Amino acid sequence: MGKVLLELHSVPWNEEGLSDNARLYSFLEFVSPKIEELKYRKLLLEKLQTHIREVVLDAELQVYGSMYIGTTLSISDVDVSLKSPRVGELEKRRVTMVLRKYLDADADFHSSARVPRINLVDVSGIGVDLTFGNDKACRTAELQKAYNEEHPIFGRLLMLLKHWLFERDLENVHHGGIASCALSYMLIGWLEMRFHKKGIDSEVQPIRALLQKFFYFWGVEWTYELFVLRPLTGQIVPKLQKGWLNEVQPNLLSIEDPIDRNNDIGKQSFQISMIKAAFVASANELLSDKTWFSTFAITEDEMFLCKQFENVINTKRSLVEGYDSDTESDELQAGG
Amino acid sequence: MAVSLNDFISVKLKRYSRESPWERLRVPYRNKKQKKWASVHNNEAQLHSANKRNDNCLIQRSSTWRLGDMITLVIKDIPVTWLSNEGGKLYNLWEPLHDYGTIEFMKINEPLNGQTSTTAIVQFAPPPKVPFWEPNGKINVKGVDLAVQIDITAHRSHISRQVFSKNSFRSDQLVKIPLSSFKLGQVYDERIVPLFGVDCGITVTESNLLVYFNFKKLCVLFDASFDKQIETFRLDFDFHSIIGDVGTDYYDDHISLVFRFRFSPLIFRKSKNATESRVQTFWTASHLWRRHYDILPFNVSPTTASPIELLNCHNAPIGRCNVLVLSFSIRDESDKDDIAFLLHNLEKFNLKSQLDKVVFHLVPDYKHRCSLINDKEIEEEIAYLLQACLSKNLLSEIDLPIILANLKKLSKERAKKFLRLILTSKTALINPSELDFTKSFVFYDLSSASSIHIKKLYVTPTTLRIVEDSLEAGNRVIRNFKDFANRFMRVQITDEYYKQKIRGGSDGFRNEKLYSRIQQLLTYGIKVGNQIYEFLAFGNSQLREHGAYFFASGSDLNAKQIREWMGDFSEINSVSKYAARMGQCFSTTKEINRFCVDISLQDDIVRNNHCFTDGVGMASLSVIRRLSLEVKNHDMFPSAFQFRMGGYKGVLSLAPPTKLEYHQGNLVFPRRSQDKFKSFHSTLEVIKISRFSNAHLNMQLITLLEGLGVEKTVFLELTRSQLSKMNESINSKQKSILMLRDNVDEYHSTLIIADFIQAGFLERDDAFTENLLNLYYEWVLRLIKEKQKVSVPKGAYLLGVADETGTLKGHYDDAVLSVPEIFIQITDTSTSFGSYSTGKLKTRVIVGLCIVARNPSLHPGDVRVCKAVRCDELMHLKNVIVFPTTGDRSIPAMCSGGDLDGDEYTVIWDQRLLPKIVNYPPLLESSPKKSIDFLEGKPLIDSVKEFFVNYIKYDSLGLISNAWKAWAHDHDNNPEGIFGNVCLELAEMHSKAVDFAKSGVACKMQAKYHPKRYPDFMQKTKTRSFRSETAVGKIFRYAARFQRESGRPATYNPIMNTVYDPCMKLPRFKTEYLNVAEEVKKHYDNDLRSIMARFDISTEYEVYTAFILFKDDLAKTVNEYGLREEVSFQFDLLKKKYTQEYLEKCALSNQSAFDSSEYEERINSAVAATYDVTYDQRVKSVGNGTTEVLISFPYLFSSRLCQLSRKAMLTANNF
Repeated sequence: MGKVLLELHSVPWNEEGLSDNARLYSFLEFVSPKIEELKYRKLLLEKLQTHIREVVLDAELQVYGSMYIGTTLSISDVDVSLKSPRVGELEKRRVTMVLRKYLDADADFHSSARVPRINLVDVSGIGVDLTFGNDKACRTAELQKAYNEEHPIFGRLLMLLKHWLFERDLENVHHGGIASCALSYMLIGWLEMRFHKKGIDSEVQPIRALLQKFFYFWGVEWTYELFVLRPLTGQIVPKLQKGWLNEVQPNLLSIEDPIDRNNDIGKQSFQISMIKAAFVASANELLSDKTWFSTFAITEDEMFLCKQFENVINTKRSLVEGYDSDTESDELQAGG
Repeated sequence: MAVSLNDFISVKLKRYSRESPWERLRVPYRNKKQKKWASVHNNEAQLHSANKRNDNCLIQRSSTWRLGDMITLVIKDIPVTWLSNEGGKLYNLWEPLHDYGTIEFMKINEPLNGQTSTTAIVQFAPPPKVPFWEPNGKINVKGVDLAVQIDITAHRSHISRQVFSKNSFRSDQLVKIPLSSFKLGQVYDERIVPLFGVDCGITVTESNLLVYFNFKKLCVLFDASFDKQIETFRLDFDFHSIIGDVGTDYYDDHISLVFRFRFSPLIFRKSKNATESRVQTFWTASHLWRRHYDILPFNVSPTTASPIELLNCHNAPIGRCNVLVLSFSIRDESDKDDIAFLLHNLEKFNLKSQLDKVVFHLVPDYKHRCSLINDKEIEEEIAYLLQACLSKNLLSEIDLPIILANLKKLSKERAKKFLRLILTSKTALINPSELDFTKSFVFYDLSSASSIHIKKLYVTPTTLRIVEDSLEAGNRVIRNFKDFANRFMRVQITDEYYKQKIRGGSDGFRNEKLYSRIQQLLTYGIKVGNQIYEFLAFGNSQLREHGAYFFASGSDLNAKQIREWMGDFSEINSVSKYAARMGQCFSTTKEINRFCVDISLQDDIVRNNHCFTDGVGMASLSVIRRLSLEVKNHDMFPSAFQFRMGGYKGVLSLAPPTKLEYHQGNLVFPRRSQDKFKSFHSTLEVIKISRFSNAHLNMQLITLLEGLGVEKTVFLELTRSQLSKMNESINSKQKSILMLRDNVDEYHSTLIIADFIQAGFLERDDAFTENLLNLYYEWVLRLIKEKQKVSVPKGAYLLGVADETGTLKGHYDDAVLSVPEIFIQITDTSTSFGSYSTGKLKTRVIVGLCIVARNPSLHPGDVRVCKAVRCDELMHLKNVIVFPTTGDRSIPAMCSGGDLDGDEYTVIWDQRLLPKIVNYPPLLESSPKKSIDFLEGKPLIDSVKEFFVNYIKYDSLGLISNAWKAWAHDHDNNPEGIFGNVCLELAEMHSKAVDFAKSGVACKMQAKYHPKRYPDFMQKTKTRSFRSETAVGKIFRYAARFQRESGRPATYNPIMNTVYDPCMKLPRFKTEYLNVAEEVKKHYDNDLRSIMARFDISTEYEVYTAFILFKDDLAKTVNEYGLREEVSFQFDLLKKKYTQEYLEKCALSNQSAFDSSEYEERINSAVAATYDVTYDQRVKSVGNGTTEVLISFPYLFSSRLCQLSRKAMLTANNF
């Protein structure tokens, strides 16, 4: 069913007479974090660092992922890696405990994951994903940041696509979705292949058309069974050549990791056929002039997040402003 | 400013879902993973098998055995004579070999026919340091040369285990890490007061932590050195007794882990001599561990000649500890890894680790502080309550000086209230200030005239758990000595997990020390406050629970006088009978006020040495009418009831109305078989009255019926239809009502739920009704899964009585196929549309073949096929099963030796369940009943005490019935199932074990009856289980799958959205009663919370319906039936009290003050007011977010509420 969606009225992107581009940008602005929120995220990072230093004295954190690239949405997690020093198993556990103590009592430590990580959710509802010495992810982030600076359209498209995945409950690779890393390389590869390699400027293209073409490409045109994508050059490499042919599941998505050529970023997306179907559906949807915008919507989950964040900010405010607000809320209650 | 999502927060928004056709391609993640794994696994398996051959070669090189963590030796040429009774068996091997290393396991094989020698296996873990069998591979034991060989095949599986680091040991299932130190103590205000491990006269030399993940327990193993000797002890902590998270504290060179626990650990002392191996052919190292109740060396006798106390200042107070601190020293990285591994695995069991600061707080004068409890100035009641608080760790003995000083300042009433308040609170009051004692508080006391407060106490091996008061309906003794009621005490002997019995072993070795503590308890009593409670007597069902009554004797009354008052038992010459007859006075009964009956003793109907009226007599119509008024029975006029009257016990049924002489006055016609002892009491006391409830199959019955030839599919069909009916009824009001009416439970809760639904509460999204229904689903599903309690719509569970008219045809031995007749007339719950609350019930007579069984039935002959007939002479008997009094043998006796003194029978007339093998010969009592005689030259009561200890020691009822279950389903080892010899013998043993309480003859289960493996539905550890293909196994798996896959949420939802019921708007006087309602609700909530706290029940719905969902860890240990009965009893009292109180306070208890229509309307308004108050509180609580509100109060007035709703619906329809 995907996520539960909300019907919002009088939102900027629904105004009459907007161009397609303006509409999408307005939507994007709506789902991007506000300044207050970005500040809060920074603060959260600082908090994280101080807490971790309680157990690992000279801990240094490195942000990667969307926050580093600059494509943060309100729904994005904070991805952060403990850059130095290298810590042992017990210290990792102790880091978990300290985070449990201060930030989230239910913080989970996944010690047996490929990249050991701590998952937690801050009181504001923002998720934090802490990994240990995750150089590769940091380098990936650097690479994508550089790409984004060169082609800003990449960032905007990526944000829209991430939201698109979120609405459809496809953002989690473990539950049959697609990882954001794979998605970003799908986008880069496609941009390279269709535009930059041919010398076409992607920036001037109408964004609705870009999205439609992207969906169509990955939903219909790409032959998952046979090829591997080499994103940065937009090249198509046969799976046989790379030796990545999986006989059990021949149609897995394969993307060569630019950081490590032997790594296949796409192989975790075990339900690619479902994602493909979702791509096709949206590609068709975007063609219709009447209803194309129903491709995007605000979910109830975002609303929850927003409420939670608002609560945190409000308590902070009321603490600053003293106790006046207490009596006010009492009155309100009595009135209601 | 731009619009953002914040602007929509308080706006009511429409929600919708996107059509997502791609979703149908979604594959559940779990399945996918398994599939992938399976395909990879196959390849790997092939690779492995190729490698294994190489392994073999490697291991065969000599001295590789040193590398493993275990070695198995095969010892050959053992003379057969060792296996004889006096031959010494395994002890011959243990004695010479145990010096070389730690023997983990030994087994001696049964010799094949005609052979003079046999082989044995001895396993060392770790391997011995010296290869004592080298160089020839021979050892000499008792002058016999034995050949020794290393068993390589046994070896390999262990070598593949992971063994890490030089000091510690870890595998998936076991972690063993040396401890630098450990301390047991009490949590005191965020600090830890060490009570054991330091300064207690015992030096701990070497300690280790062992964690068995597969058994979910954590053991601390240590050597304690006393003056000269060193003894090894072990403390076992179950994971489920650990509360909260694991605290960790880290320093440079060591790390401490802190575990808080609810129940004291089990203490074991390692015996130095493997004495059991003399009699066994199978021995493991675990046999060396003996239970203990204190850390004391073997030869010191801890049983002092003093009563048992809560704060015992003589020994190490293990029972007073609630926290364990383990310290490990960190020398290198691998040590760190071990701890990380341990923490990682503990997290899998939901024991999360947290940062913690370990601060010790030394109390040097701990023993002195404990001794303060004997303060003579403290009033008795207060001392008792104080100790109850201490035993629940709500107050700490460390604060005793402050507490006592302050309590003395308070008035007696206030001090009592203060302590009662603490008992109902959830958090401990530590280091109280004077202010805590003087600040004002509100407290309501639950008291009711019809019930009596009795003290209750659990004795566990290490400590006492004092329950403040338990409300009891009362019994003859306590009613008579009402003025002394506060000096009676119910004592129950349990294991540390205090709802579990102490398990009697088949060998007396292991728990010897525990029995000596029980002996001490019985001889010297218990000291609570300044009173010493001494043994009085025990009731029959109490004995099964290992409980007894104690009494604090004084100069005015002592236990001996009470026993003398109970009656004249001098004619009884058997200890067990003597005890049972005394126990008869302790049955929970209800006295019928000022009601004298005339007794006219009748002869039993006896033929062929069989008594056909064993335990059943008659009563006249007027007696029964009086009774039905007294008991306020909601059902129809009762036909029979279980009673006590002086020395009489049993059942009285309504005498045939056709004979006038039976009904002239208040007449009771007891039988001689009901007369148990001489007594001058003649008041009639009632235990229970006959009422209808639905029949259920259970595991035993299904097993028997399947064995007797009923198709497997029938049982599955019944289960399936019950579950699918449940599922269907989710969406249909009528279906759910029908389903609830078809499955009447003992406390008639389903009928109440059905009434609520009928009245339309569910349609109006009433949270309470919805939760009740969800709870019911969950409860049924669990029962089916765990006990295979499948409801049979065509069946009933009824009290048995005898046919006084002699019209029914009985069982005849010489008939070709004897099918005796029975008579059943039951309430028709399904067709009579007049609901439970209106009281208009119809009945119908069952006709046709049916099966009759009694619980527990294990023998194939226990299930009888009878023919239900219509019999005009018996139409006056309803909701009972009437057995014939003619024929050669009595039918109840054939149903696992039942009688008619209150036994209930399951009767099923579903033709599909009729067995193919009809009326298998019943179990005959082979040996004449023996009985134990009184000890010579000692008071009679001493023999009773000894019998009590023996009963606990040899109580193997549970063991036998479990063994039977396992054997009956294990068709590989016992192909004949229930007809196999093992099962028949076990069934016979079971019936003897049931009689243990009466006959005094213990039934010891021999080792050969221990099951080889267990069917999966018994939910033992995986390695010992097999997949059972019988009906029971199928039902278990079906229900388990249903539970996993059904769309319903697995747990019912205690917090739901609040919707106001429009029906409650109407009544006009509502506002007048709002204040009263609020006040009474406050009191009621308080009492309800204390019931929930006392029985460890998490929601009010469970209390309201007595469908109690036990937490997983307790599910198997508690006596579910007893607990439910107690909860339902207590709630009934509460219900009565508060409905009455509320109406009184609303000035509505007296109808005559108003004209009838106004009275009706006022009552309705008052009830609606309770609803309004509750609703308001809920809305507020949702607004505040946190506090939990109890909402059952309005639903106490269930029938009024339904009436109100129906009325409102009618009005709504008219407009």
